Amino acid sequence: MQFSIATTLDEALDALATGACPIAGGTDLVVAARHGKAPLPDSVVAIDRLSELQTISSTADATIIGAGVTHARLMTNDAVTGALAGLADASALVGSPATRNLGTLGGNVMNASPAMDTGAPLVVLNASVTLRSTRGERSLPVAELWVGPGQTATRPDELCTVIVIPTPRVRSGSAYVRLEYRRAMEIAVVGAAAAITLGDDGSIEALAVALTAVGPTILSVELAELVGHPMTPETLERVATLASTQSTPISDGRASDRYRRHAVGIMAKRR
Amino acid sequence: MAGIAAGGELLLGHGSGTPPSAPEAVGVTCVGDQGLAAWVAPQFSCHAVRVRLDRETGVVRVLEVSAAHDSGTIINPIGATGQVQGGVLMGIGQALTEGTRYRDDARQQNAGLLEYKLQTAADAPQIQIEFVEVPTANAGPSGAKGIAEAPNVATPAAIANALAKLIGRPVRQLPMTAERVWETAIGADEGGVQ
Amino acid sequence: MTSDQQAITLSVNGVTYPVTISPARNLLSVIRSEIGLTGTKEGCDDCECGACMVLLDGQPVNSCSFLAAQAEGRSVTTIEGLVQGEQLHPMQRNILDEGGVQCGFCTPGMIMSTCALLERCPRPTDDEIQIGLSGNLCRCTGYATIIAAVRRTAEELAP
Repeated sequence: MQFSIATTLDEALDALATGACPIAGGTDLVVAARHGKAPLPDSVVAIDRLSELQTISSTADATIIGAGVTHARLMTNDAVTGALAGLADASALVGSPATRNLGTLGGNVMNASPAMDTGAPLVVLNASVTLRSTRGERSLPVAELWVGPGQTATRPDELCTVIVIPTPRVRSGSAYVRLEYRRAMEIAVVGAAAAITLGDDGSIEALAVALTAVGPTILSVELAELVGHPMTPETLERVATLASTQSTPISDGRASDRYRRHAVGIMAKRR
Repeated sequence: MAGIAAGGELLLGHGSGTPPSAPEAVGVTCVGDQGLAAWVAPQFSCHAVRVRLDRETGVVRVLEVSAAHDSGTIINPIGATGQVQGGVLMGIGQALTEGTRYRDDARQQNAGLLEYKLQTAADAPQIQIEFVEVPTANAGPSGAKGIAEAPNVATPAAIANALAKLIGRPVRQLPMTAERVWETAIGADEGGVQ
Repeated sequence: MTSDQQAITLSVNGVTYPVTISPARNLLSVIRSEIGLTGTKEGCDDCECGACMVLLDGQPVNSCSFLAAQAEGRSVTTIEGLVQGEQLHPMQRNILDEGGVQCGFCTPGMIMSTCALLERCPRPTDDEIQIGLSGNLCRCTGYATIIAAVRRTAEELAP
C-alpha cells in the first residue's frame, strides 16, 4: 500500500487524481478492512491535517462545516447545537467517545451507509456538499449524493471539502431520534430526523422527515399533505403512519422488516 | 399437579424450609477437596430489579438491581462483590441483548461485538448487594460456598418477571430483545393483532 | 524489506522510535510488536471493545483500527506512559484499590479512556463517566468498581 500525508489541499487533490483514496479518522476505511469487508486500497492519502477542512463558520445564509470536523466537535459546537440541533443530536450518538473523536462528518457523508446517523439530519436540513478535484469544484445536495448503500454520485478523484447547511428560518427546529438496544456502541436499527418551521399562527409552514436504516439510502418522507395543519397529536400520528408506510426496510440480524417499519414511525413522531 | 397444569390452570405456590446440608464431598479435583466442597454446597440467591420499558418499541433499560446471596462465609469481600456485580451485568446482557444467532450453514451470524451486544458502562444500573452468610455444614474453607455463576441466574428471571408484570404476559424466550418484548406486548406471539 | 515498507518515526510516551513498517499496519501491532510495549491489548481487533485504547495527542483512539503511519508526527500515549518512576497513576492505583481489575484485559483501555475523559471533563457526573467509558467493554466487573475508581481519581486530580 502507498501512503502519504497531505499537507495542503492541492497535494490531497493531486493524490486523488492519481487514484489514491482519502483517509481521515479511518473509522470506516480501516475498520472495514479489519472486518474483512473490503481490503485497504492500494493507495491512501491522509487528509486529517488539512486545516482547510477543520473549520466551522457561519454566515447569515449558511453554516459551513469542514469535511474534517469530527463528531466530537459537532456535538459541542455552539453553531451546531444552536440552529442545527438535529445534527448535534446525531453526532452525539455515533459509536463511542473514540469513534466520535476520530470520525468526521465528511467521512460519514462519503461512506454513504444507509445506517449513518448524520445522514437523516443533513437531509432534513437541506445540506449540500462541496466536491473538489483537480478539475474544479461542484456542489451537490446530500439527497442526490447517495445513490445506494455505500455508493455516491461522485467520481473517485473528488474530495468532499465542506458541508453547507442553509440557515433555518425563524420558528424552526430540528431533532434526531434513534432506536438503540443499548446506550452506546450502537448502529442505528432505525432512526428519524425532523426539521419543522412553524408559521405565525403556529401551523406547519414546512416539515421534513428523513429516515435512517429503512432503505438503500437515507429516505425522505413525503409529507406535503401536512403543510398548513396545526401540530396536534393527530398530526404526529399521521407523520408516524406516513413514515412507516413509505419506509422500505429489510430483515436482518438486528431486526425484522415488520418491526423496523413500526419502530421508524415511532422514531419519526417522537420528541 | 402436572394434570392441573396440563388443563391450563395457573399453578402458583410458595413456601420455605430448612436448606439441605451439603453432601459429603470427597475426592481430589484440580483445586483439591476443599474447592469441591465449596462448589457442591447449595447456594441461595434472590434478585429484585427495577426496569423501564418503552412500550412503543419494547426497549428495556434496567435501572436498579438488588442482589442478596447466601454464598456462605465471604472470605474476600472485594472479590465476592465483584463477582456479583459482574454476574448481574452479564445476566442483564443475557436477558436483553446477548444471544448468538446461527445461519443455516451453522456459522455464527453475529460473531462480533457490534452485533453480539454486551452491556456497556453506559447501561450499567445501580447494584445493591447483600451477603447472607448462613453457616452450612460440609461447605468449603471457613464455610465458604461458590458465588460466580449464581448472580447470572437470578438476574434474567427477575427482569423477565418485571416485564411480565408490565405487559401482562411473559416473554417466552431469551434474550428478551426489544422486538420480542414488543411482539409479546401486542400479542403477536400468540396470534394476536398485527 | 518489501517495496511498500516505509521508514517512519513514532513518538510514544515521549520517546521517539524509528520503525520500518508497511503503511497498512495498524498502530496497535506496531506498538506491541515493533516497539515492544505490550500493555496495550488486542481484544476484538474490530474497533468494538476498547482494549486497544491509546491517546493520540491526548484524545482516545482505538489503536487496532488506526494506521500507524498516520500517527507520525503526533504524540502517542500508552498505559506504560502513565507511570511516574515507581509511582502508579492515580487511576491505576484506584482501579486496583476499588477491585476494578478482574481478568485485567480491559484495564489498560479503561485507564486510557479515563485519562481522556478527565482531561476534557475534570469533574464528571456519574452519567458522564459512564458515557466516557462506554467504548470500553468489560465482561467481568459489571463496571461499578471501575466507575467508582474514576470518581475517586477525579476527586484526587480535580483542580
